[in-house]
Amino acid sequence: MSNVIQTRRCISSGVFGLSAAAWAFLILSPSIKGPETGDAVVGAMCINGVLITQTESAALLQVFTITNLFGWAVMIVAMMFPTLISPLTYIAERSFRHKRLGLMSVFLLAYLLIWSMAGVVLMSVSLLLRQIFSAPYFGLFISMLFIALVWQCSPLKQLCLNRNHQHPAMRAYGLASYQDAARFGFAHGVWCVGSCWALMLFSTVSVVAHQPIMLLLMLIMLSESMQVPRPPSWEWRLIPARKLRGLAMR
Amino acid sequence: MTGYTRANAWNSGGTFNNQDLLWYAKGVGVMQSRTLDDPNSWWFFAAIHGEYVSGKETGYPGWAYIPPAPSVPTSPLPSPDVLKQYWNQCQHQTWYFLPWHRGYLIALELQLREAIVSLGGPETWSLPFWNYLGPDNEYHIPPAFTEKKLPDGDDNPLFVDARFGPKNDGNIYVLSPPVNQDCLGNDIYTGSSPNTPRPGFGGPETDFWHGGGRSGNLESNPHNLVHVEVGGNAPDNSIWGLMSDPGLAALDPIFYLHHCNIDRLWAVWNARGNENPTSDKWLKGPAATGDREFVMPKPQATAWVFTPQDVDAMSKVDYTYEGLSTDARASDTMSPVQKRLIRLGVNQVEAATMAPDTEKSSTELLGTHDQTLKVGSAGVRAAVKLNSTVKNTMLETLASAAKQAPDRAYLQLENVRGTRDANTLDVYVNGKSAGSIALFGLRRASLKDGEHGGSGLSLELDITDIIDALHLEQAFDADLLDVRIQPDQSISDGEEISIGRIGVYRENGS
Repeated sequence: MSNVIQTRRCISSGVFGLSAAAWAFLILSPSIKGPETGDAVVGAMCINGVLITQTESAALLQVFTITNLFGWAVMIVAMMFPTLISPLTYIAERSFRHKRLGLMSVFLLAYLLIWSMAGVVLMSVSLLLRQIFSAPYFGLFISMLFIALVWQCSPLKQLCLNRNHQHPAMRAYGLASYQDAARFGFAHGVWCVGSCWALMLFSTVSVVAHQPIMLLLMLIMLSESMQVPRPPSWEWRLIPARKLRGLAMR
Repeated sequence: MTGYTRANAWNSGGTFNNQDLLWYAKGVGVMQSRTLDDPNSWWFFAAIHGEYVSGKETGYPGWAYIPPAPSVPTSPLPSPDVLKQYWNQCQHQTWYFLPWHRGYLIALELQLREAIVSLGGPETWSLPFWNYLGPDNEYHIPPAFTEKKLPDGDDNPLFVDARFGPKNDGNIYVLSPPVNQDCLGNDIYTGSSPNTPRPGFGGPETDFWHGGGRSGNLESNPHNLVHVEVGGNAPDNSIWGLMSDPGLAALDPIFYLHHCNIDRLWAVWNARGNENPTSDKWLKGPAATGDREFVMPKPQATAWVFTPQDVDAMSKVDYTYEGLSTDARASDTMSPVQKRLIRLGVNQVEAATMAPDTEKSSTELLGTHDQTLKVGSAGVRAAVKLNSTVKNTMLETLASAAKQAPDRAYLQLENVRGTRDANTLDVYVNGKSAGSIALFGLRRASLKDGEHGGSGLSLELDITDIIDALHLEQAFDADLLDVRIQPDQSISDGEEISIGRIGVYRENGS
């Protein structure tokens, strides 16, 4: 087995392990305490659950608590970390051995920071939409599904996916190496948000089968991240079924 | 199963006295008479490899801007579904490079044979190979490709205007060195071993995305170098030759004779007892994990879907190569690692018995030049700063070569981007030649919406011999390596090549 593949498999185990732990956290915590208790930490376990269960008229500031943002970050770890195997392998391959872990951590933190900022925007939009649509939010669900489907097929979505494959040259020595890892994490996060925002927004309004839908969305985003870049164009790419089958076979 | 023999294009002097070449020309003519959207046409087959006709190219290398001959059609395009199924399939910087191109040649040969038979030609016709590393004048392109007319006075379909050669003067030949077939000394298809520098004879194992990857050793040399040398640049530097660019290359009839030779070298390598990968992932191809399938049009436009395991042995295909059994006998009795150990002071008897055979390796960064470099016609020079701890670890393995496998060293030009493939970079480390790297595929790898996502190419050279020599000369003590990069061709203003970083890596094989 080549060294690159060994490194990639090691990193794959790490990110899938972190993702699994985050999923366990999201799934198990509500069942321990129950969302109806109103416990802030419980709500934070699944920020979408918070939006679902909290009052439609909740003020924005009530939602943006540390615990809720923590919950959002846990969800990002669960859903998005498996998409980061390629850039993390790239960083590991091109850095001094003693700096690999640190540089990968900086990349992940920068990436999480971008997604946290995106989370604030997405949660705000979601809350706003809840105030526009009335319960049981069927119209909201259909609208968000429509927006997500249109975005999935758009050339802009493909452009964002393509940019996620752009791996920059990274300096190896000194503080500059950490700056480059952070810059890479920020850039990757921005394009990742660009690619996935519609699916994530859709997930915030999926009241029924919320966690299975999140799992399905994670698989879609994972398979998308594994696809070779291609020229942006309108294309029917709702669910990369062939790639999902391939993933299952792997 | 062998029914056909692919023979040397230089038989009968490489002229039209060679019936293989004469009928090849006529077969190409038939295929060129068909329309772009016809899966049996020459143009469609070229687009299977790569094309610049379905996009929005506003100048060269768009197919509309190729100077005849040949007169390349730009319409009618096939339907979007057919285009998506067949076009732009070529596999480079991956371990699928060899099997995909073998299937490609088989499909083209079927088309040509059918066309040739329809003209009254021999039913046993097979694609000839151009062995540019053969004896005498064989480093020159067979003369049949430079004639403007066939013996019967018709236009010669093998003649191509945009084929400029290594000196850009229309004189087409292959320079050796740097072109060689040293890769036949490798003993690993993918990965590295004491006898095989990474990423192996056949290319690196690739996953869902192989942008930024490295060419396999056969792909790197001779394949890439021959592409760039044959293609070259126009004398006024306005355009580059078809062979220099993956999106143009298969329009030139010499392309298939070059790839026939690459396929022959793979067959020779296997005949010398070297094995192809046995993992399902390689055998079943990328389609098994959800990527595009390998598919070719057979005559009558039926689709042939194949995987590497369908073509990974000569016993599975219906042809063999002239002289294969002779070439299979390796002339060198000493393996590369034995030669190296002797250079490092291990005695010959000991070296012959201790040559390690391990595929387990670990690589780590040894040093870098961190600044982005712009390469113009004058070349560039850079100091690669080495990490002293890693360097000392490497030095220890060199000093104790008799006890453990000594480290290898690689120099990598990372994130190399540019707009023109028709160039070669000659690389020197501390004044010693490290080798030459062709930039075949550079332009496409630099496109943001291309397969590499705009990351560019990673170009790698095995500099183990140089490090060994510096060690023996006791000149490897400093923490800097002096690297000089010299382009083989002049570079116009605005077409500079950028190198994101130079990295030097040590590979521990024990």
